[in-house]
Amino acid sequence: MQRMRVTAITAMALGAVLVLSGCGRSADGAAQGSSAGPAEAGEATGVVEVWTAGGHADNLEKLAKAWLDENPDVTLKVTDVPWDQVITKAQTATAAGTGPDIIMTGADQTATVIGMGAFDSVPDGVYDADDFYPAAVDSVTGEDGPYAMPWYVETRFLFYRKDIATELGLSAPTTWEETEAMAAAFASRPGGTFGFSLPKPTEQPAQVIVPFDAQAGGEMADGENWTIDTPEFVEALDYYGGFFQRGEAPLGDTDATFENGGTPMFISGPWMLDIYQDLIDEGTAPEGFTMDSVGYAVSPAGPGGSNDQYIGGGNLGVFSASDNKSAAWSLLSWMSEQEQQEAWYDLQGELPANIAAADYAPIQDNPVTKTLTEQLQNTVAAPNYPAWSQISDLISKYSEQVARGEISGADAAKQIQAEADTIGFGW
Amino acid sequence: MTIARSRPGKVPSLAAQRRRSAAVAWVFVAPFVLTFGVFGLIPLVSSLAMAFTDLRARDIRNPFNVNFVGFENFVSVLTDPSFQRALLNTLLFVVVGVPATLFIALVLAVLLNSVTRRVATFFRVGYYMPVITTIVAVAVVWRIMYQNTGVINTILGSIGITGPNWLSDPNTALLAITIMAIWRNIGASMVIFLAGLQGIPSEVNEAAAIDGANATQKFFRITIPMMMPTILLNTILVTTGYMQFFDEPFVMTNGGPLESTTSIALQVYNQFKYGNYSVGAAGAYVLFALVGVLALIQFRFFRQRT
Repeated sequence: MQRMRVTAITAMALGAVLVLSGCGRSADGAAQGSSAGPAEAGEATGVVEVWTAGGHADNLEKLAKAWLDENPDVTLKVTDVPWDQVITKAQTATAAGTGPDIIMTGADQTATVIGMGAFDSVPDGVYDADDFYPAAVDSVTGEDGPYAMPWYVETRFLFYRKDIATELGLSAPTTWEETEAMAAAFASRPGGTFGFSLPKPTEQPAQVIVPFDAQAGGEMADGENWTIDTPEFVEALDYYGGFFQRGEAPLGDTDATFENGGTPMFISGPWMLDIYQDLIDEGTAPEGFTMDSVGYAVSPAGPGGSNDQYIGGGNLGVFSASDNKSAAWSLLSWMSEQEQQEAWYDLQGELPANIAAADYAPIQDNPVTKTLTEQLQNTVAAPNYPAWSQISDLISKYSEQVARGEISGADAAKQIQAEADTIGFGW
Repeated sequence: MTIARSRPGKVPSLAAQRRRSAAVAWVFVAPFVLTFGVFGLIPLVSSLAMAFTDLRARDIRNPFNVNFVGFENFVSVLTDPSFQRALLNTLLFVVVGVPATLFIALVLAVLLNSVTRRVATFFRVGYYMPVITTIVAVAVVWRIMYQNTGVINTILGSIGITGPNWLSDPNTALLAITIMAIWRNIGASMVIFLAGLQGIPSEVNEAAAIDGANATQKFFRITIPMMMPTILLNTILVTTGYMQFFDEPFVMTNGGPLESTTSIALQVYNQFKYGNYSVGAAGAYVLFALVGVLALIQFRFFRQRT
């Protein structure tokens, strides 16, 4: 018994020594992978394995047929990963040092994946950043340059009940003041409950507060530090919180919806149109709610004069431990071309990240995508830092106190700034 | 019966026999020792070591390339106002939730023990059902029930009380979640109590009845003392479970409103989500220490009574 205890203690001490001796941060931090440029057109070889996210595998295989024809010596293997597992899968692959050649990430996940060292920096000759929406390029930019390629983009716009607005003699708002007036008119109309449904403080309100900050003329970071305690961010917080303080935005669970007129205005993406179409087709929409009731418009402009809206989308990066990088870059380079970007719209209905492809006729002929391409001219990305999810939660925490009128927007901005400064960017 | 020996006349020494049986024993325990070592001990030791380093998401390619920071993570966890709020919420949840769960479960068990078998089976299934349901599905229903215009407020309204918007009012959210957790957990405790009750010899109760004890006296003088080991077991199980309070706030409120339902486990989860693995590990060990201390106190308290 005594001997066993001694053995156990020795084993544990040995384990601890092993762990301790291996530790100690080296001076230059994590080494960044470098990689060869893309293979010449038609000369890609080997197997290219791609992890797509959120149901993009089937159409990617269809899109890539033409590339496979051009490059007879290469084969493609595509696996789809659910959105919420992208980061975990990338983490496991990075820690193990084995994985696919290309990993797809959501725009808001890219910084985290870059931060863990899963992506190689983009070599020259893959794509020209000037061809893409600046906010989309922001979402692939790491500490010292781009680490991925923007594949497609998505943005949001303002939804409002056109029928109710017409009854009240109002049209789509173009400024913050008009939006506030419209929300007040919606909420105070006979039978009205709320005016404007914004993401609640528990629903990542940073997704609207960051665009509000941009609309006020602010920026979340200046490249060196977080710039949150600014007059623009305070304006954004007060604008956001004001709707809740006036009772025009629901703070708790409610049965008010857009269809029943309870919340006749909100900010979201084009997918909501499909949802309403389905509701109407199934006959579950309230009486009198038709597609003509649904109005949409580009975001209203803020006091800074811009109407920047949140940009999302999918990015593709080359895995740092990939053993077929040149073929992988070659595929990405091919996918960044205008022709493939247009073909992707035909296949998946997602908007091209390449600006030139936005003029593609089918996109401009559809009023919804036409409005979206207008909005895409003015977009802002979520700050592209690994620590963003933590800062975003801080904004949730303090914006809730503003929404409930517990502290002023100015105090909240000071608090967020102070905590964000200790957190840093997380690179 | 004869015992076959390879070399009759030579008896193996006692020490050799003991060594042989020790070797056989090790072979038998090897599957457990190996799996526990690989999947239990290594993660345990490394997570403890991690709590004293500055390991973050960016270090996963070189997990040993980190610095030791002593108790810095523990200090930052314990001085974080959000964590302190989580600590308070968790303790409130335990202080209210554990006695309520145990009391209701014990009362139900005693009632079920005194009715006919068929009725008991029916109710046992009914009370146990919440334990085996999925929290995600249940949460959706409870959220609707807790809405401003939900079932609970409709019932309260019919007796003239204007109910709050339970989950979005910082004053009632934790209570609302506690009620739901109690509902979810009484079944498990009840089944354990029921087993304990059935272990009480009927002679004891009969003797008490002959001595003229009434039902209340029998409950407090016979049932409770005889049940002490079961009550201790249940108290420790429920307390440990409730200290790790996570599912309900995670799916119902995400810690809100105004952090009124955030819990230690949720804070730890968030730190891991942010990639601050070492801070998360430190938070997890704070929770571990608290659970240990509480269990120790309970053992001490009950030891004099069992």
